[in-house]
Amino acid sequence: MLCNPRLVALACIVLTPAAALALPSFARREGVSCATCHSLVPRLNRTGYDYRNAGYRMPDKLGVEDAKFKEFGDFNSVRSETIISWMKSSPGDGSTGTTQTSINVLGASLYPLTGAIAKNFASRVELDVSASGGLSVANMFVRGTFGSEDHHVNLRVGVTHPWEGYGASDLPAGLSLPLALGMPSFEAASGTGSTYFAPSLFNQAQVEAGYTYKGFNLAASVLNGLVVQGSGGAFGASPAIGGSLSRDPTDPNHNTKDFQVVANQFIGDDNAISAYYYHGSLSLPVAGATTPTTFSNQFDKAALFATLAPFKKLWILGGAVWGWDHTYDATAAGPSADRFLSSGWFAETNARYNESVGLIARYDYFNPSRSTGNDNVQGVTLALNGLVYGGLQGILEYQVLKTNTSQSVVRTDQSLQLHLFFAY
Amino acid sequence: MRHASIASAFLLFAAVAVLLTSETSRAAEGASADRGKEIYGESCAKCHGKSGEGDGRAGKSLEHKPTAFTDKSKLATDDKLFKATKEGGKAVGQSSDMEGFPKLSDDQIHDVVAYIKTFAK
Repeated sequence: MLCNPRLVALACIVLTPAAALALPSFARREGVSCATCHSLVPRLNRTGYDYRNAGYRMPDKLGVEDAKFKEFGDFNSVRSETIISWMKSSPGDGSTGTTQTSINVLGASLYPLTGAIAKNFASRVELDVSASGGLSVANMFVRGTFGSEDHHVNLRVGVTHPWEGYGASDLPAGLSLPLALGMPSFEAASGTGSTYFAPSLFNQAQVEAGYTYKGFNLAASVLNGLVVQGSGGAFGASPAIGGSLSRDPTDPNHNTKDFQVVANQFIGDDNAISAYYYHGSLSLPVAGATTPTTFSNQFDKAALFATLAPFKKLWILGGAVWGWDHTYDATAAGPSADRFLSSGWFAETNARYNESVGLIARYDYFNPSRSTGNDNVQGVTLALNGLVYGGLQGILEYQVLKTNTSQSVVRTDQSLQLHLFFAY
Repeated sequence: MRHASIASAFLLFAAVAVLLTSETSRAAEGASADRGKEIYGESCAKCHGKSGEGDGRAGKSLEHKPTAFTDKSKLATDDKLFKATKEGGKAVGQSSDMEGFPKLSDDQIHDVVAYIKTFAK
């Protein structure tokens, strides 16, 4: 097998940008600079992590009546995003590749009613308005935080990113997710194809309970999981958040819930280790079936992350992710008895030049199925992150991905992207 | 004749300066550390610490540690404290991590400066 088109197609997923998230309304409300909560916007530092964990308030204000619920701009933000990109795909056999350049206005994100409410509550709403006019819910949840500055319980209900991490386990400071967090497991040999789920790809509907004691946090969630929909061999996954994005009553996983637990331990102010575990169920379409057929994939994901800050302006981040998934067994007309293993890891450095400019460099390795020879994707990502002026932020990222089989490099994908954000 | 014009202009400038200075002084003289304490607790303590030692929780991740106000010999002048509070650290040659508080009135800032000075020993 010199070229596996499905494996190659998966490589494109990592080009999907991870939305940068930094809300000026929090800075306005607190009267502080972005650097108070961000090492490199949008990556949070310890203060930002604690602020979020205390329900978008300084931890010492937990349980204190908030006198600052007074200005519109303290609870509302808006952000637009424009992308200028160049992408080139080169097959490993030397044949002509493809090049694409584009300028895309991604649209705007609205953050109404976002921030701390009263003594113990908070809400976060993020509505994405695409340039073509579509509206989607990226985040919409309420949280209650009860206890003291160093010892409290958190409850979250709604649609949200599956977990709130720190450093290596949080959202990236550049544009792209690490492969191991953004790329689904994939079994080429059986023809099953993508398993669709990846730890950081989807914001899901969930109920989460968390406990914080000083630098330790443990959060457990029950999640609604994903739904795979489509026809004619073209399928896509979405979070099952209700309405048309619901699992069909005939789906054997119609009422099944996913489960997740995440732990984070700070070591000092800036260093931390994190652990992640997810158990999920997802009905996957059987590739090549003449009639729409699905099988149930009961899968598990586990990950370990570490974040070190040896110097004031330098962070070293790393993570390793493992996954266990079923394939379709045609003989048994159901999921295979054994599961296949996928794994990946990444190592990254973030360096800040000053309050506004920083560099990101990352190496990625991901093997979507260890039972399929040495198929893997490797990537190198370099990014320049800068707050250009006021609410204007630019992130320039170059990424090169090599998709390999056991025989040779089958494809090289390069991308150069400039994302311009304006947030108020 | 030319010398007389220069002298007149100088006197006029000096008179205006005296008036302005006395206005500022009056505002500073009327400042209340008690009133400033509440504003400080709400807006400044998160970085500069409740006791003005520069040890507030929000300041610990900053590249430049927030200024401590406890050492009288190192405490900035009233004017500099006023300007930093109103316009931010960059306006007085300090870190831009310190945002200004343009929504505070001059009287409120004078109150805050008065309270900050109570930390200095």
